[in-house]
Amino acid sequence: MVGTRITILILSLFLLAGCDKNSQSELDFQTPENSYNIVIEGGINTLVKQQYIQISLPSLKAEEAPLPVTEAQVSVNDGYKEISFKMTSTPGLYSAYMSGNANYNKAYKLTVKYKNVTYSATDTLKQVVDITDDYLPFTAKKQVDGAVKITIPKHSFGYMNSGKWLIAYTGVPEWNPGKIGGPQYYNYTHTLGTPNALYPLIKDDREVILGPDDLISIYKFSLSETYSRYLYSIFLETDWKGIFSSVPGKITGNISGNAQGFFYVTDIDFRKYRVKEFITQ
Amino acid sequence: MLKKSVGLIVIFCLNLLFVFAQANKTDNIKISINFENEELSRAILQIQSKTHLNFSFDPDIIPSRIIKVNFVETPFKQVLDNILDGTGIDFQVSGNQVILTRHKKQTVTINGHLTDASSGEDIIGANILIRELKTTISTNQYGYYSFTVPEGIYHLQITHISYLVREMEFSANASRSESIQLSPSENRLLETVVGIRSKDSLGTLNSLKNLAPAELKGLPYFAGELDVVKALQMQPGIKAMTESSSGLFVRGGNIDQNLIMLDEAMIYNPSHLFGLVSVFNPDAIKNVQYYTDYMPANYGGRLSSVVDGRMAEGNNHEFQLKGGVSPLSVRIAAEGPIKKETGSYLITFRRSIIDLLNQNFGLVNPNSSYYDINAKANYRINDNNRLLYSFYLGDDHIYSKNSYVNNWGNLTSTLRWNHIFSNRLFLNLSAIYSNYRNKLDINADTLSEKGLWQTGIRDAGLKADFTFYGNLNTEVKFGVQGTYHQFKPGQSSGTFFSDYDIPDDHSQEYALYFSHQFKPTERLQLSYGFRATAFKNGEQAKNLFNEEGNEIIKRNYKTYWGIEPRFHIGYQVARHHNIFASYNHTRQYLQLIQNSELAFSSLETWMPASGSTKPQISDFISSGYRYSDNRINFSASAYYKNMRNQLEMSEHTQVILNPDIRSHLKTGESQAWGAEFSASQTAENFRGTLSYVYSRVFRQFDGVNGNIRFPANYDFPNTVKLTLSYFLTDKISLNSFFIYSDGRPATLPIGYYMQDGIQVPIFEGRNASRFPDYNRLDLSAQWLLSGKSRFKSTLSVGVNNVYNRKNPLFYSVRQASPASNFGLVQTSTGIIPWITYGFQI
Repeated sequence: MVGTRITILILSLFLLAGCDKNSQSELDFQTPENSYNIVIEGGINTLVKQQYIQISLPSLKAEEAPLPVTEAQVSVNDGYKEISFKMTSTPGLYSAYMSGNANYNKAYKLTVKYKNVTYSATDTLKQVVDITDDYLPFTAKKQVDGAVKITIPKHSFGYMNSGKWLIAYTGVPEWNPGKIGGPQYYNYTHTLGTPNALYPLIKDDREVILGPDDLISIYKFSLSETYSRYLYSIFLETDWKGIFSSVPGKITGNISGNAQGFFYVTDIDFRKYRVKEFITQ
Repeated sequence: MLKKSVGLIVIFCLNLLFVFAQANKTDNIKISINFENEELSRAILQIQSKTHLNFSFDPDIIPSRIIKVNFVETPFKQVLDNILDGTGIDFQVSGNQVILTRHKKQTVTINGHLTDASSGEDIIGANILIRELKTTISTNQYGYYSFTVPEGIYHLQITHISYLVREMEFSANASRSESIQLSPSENRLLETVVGIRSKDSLGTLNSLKNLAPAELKGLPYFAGELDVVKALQMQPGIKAMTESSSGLFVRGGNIDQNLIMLDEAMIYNPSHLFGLVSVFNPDAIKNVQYYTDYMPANYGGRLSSVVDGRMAEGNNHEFQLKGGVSPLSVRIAAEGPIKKETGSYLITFRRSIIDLLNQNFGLVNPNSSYYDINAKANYRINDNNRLLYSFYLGDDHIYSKNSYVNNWGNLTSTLRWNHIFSNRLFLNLSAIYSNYRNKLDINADTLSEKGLWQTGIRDAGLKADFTFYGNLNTEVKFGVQGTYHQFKPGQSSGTFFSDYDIPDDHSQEYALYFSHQFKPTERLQLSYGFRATAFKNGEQAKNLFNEEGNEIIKRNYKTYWGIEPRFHIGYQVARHHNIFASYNHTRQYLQLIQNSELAFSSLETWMPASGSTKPQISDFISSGYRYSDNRINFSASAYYKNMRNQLEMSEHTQVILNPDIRSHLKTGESQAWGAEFSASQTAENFRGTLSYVYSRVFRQFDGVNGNIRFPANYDFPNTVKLTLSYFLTDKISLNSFFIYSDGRPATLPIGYYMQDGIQVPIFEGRNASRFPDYNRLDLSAQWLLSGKSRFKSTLSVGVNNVYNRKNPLFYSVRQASPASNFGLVQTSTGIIPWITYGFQI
């Protein structure tokens, strides 16, 4: 009997003393076995003539930011002609003036030459469904004091058409095609359903209280089917990561070779509204 | 000639008359004799002396027996009858000769039910040791037993962990039915634990494992909620990917490869609250049997394990009320006789109280809740016929602040007829219905019409299981089973077109099995069986139209069939020392379409084998050694499992609103192997089990991870578990559970890049890294507040994760600008103190 008690005591002490009490730790990156080349971000839009494409190198260290690529040769073929892009004053940001770029259902091809390697990507311009013909991915509710509460979920599901939206108001800047880096305020509508049962239950919304006469700018961007799937894959690994997430997997864009990112072509519908136009109750 | 014949007849008749005269003369011999602790052989000689008859016998056939009885003027035949009773010795009187011979024994069959003396409930999985024959038999799932033995007197030891050991002398002089009763042990579990380990027969070689209520009670559960699935996760060789999930991973098997049943009805999603609690209400569960090694042929349809949960029938003596409260739920149960000693009922209700306590549980909205109802009734029509009906309904309602709702639940219904054809042939005929459904809002926060995504599976089946009890060492099981499945992999409603629906399936699954267990020698036990299965699936063909443009309803049929051999051998190399080996070939025609990183229950989509997906097939071999005596058990075993036609979803594939999901399923292989070591000790007030498991599981699929083999999500190479129970007094017990294992596999980024202001991780090499090691200590104490009165109550207190170990649950990307410290480890729930209360009136 005494032996048994001593055994239990020793085991308990062993367990309590032997365990790590360090509560939380950051994870290190896995060591890469492959080499990774450039990253493409940005594309061609129909709203403005000046186009921008960002080229960078991925960061292989958690504490380091991606580096810009400054010596690339960049061009886009809109189906009719090849347009060269030049780097702007922002390192890694390339720009060109493109007119007559609303070639719907036509392919646009990006070509990038960097360190003797040529990368290419193709996307198709899909016509955007007008804002007025689609359900708006936000709600507006009149408050007791007359103000209006706007609730914008970052992701909405089950839409007939996938789309990227920018809803700008006081405090949220208007869309700027040249500002590819930094904080973004896009929200997205998906034709696919929710990624899992839990996400809709815990997701974050953007909420703002505005006056009924305040202005709201709405930009709606069309997405090709491949770009839509690409974005959905990104969100699976980022915004929707949780206890129901699937095993992480490689996100495949449309750039050839071992390059990352996506070159897109998008049609844009843009409208301005007074907040009171959205009040449902 | 005639005269000679007449003369012979006369002589013969005279001879007969003489014999009859002598017989009458000896029949009338009466003696007075007093035996005072006399050996049987000496007693016979004394009778010979008193009667002056000649006794002829072989002294070696006379058993050793002490006679203590007094006869006065008793016919000597009566005296012999008395002292030879039960010895297997017959006597014959011929003239003045008395010849003693060994009785040519007849075999007799004893059958009946083993029942609880206080409630009348059948006792499942009790062991009946026949000491003289060194053989143990077990009661079946209905408490039925049958054994055929040579006539004689036997000493039985009947053991079950929830009952006091019963020793009884049993006179098997004629075939008969006899019910045996056991008295429940109060709180002294260890008395019975010692008893159950005391068998010295080959019964220890059986691969069946049993979890009785007494074993379930003494474990420190998550948040104090007594839970069958959590108890299984604490067993050696069964793994849970994380605490507070209801996933079971058995010897390299995936989460969907466990046959989980409640009163024979399939439970397709055994979880409440995403897995925090399982569907097994402790007030309703009488017994759980599980197989992780050899799988008898009467079980099939899953590759890796069987969990056979049985509901209690209810007290058939008197009305009883019981219930309890824990931080996760409140529960109440009522039971009583329909007709005393003949039929009974049981009704239980359990409901979560997270919403009532209005506490934020972290994952779900506080309004979220679940409930379940169990009901059971049974009626014994006569000695050979009995009806049982079981019902289960469980529902989860998870709400979000933005009006998304996720509802899911199981409904099962089982009607059974037990029929005893003869004392050796038992039949259970079951009609089974099971319905699992899950509904999730797709677009609840938009202004458009709401859409709903529904998935589910509905089964209706018939099953006949026969058990033939041959000689004492032989048991034959055979039966037939048919199930009609209706799969709804995914169907939208509301604003969505049916174009988004995943084609549904209607399937028929049939099985015919034969299983034979026998002991060719005293030390050797063999079990083998065959299960023949056939599966016919009809997959809905979509987008077919006739000439008028109307949609045609058509199905594409595909049929699979196969034979599943099973084999198990056990050999007792010496007293307490056993070795064993097993082989299973199993087929599984259904699979869960899920690619979750963790094991929490989500929108669970079941799909059948079809033209594009073949049935899963497994070959499993294992062997091991087991030492078992009254107090110490040790086992060591090794296994290898090869699984074919495994499914994996393509990366980033979604199920909801994806009618082409089948084209995103990759087929591959999985191999698992491991070694398990377990030692347990039982003393008067102490019980402990220490186990170590080394195991590996790998998967390989074309089109996944560059076709390179990768560790499965549930690959934990090293796992140590320690369970301790210490009884301070008859009423107070202390319990602990400790686990230490390698961290689970992780696919970590090798870098990142920017898109739309989002840091996007770059991955290569699935599951090439691991999370930090996992360890956790849970403690609990149980106090039986009242003892002998009719009102009994138990107070339990405990702490999960005593030293507040922050075991990683998953990692997520922390978006930072500028980018820094990209990956972040999320942690589990940390330390959780709890208190529970249970009562019984």
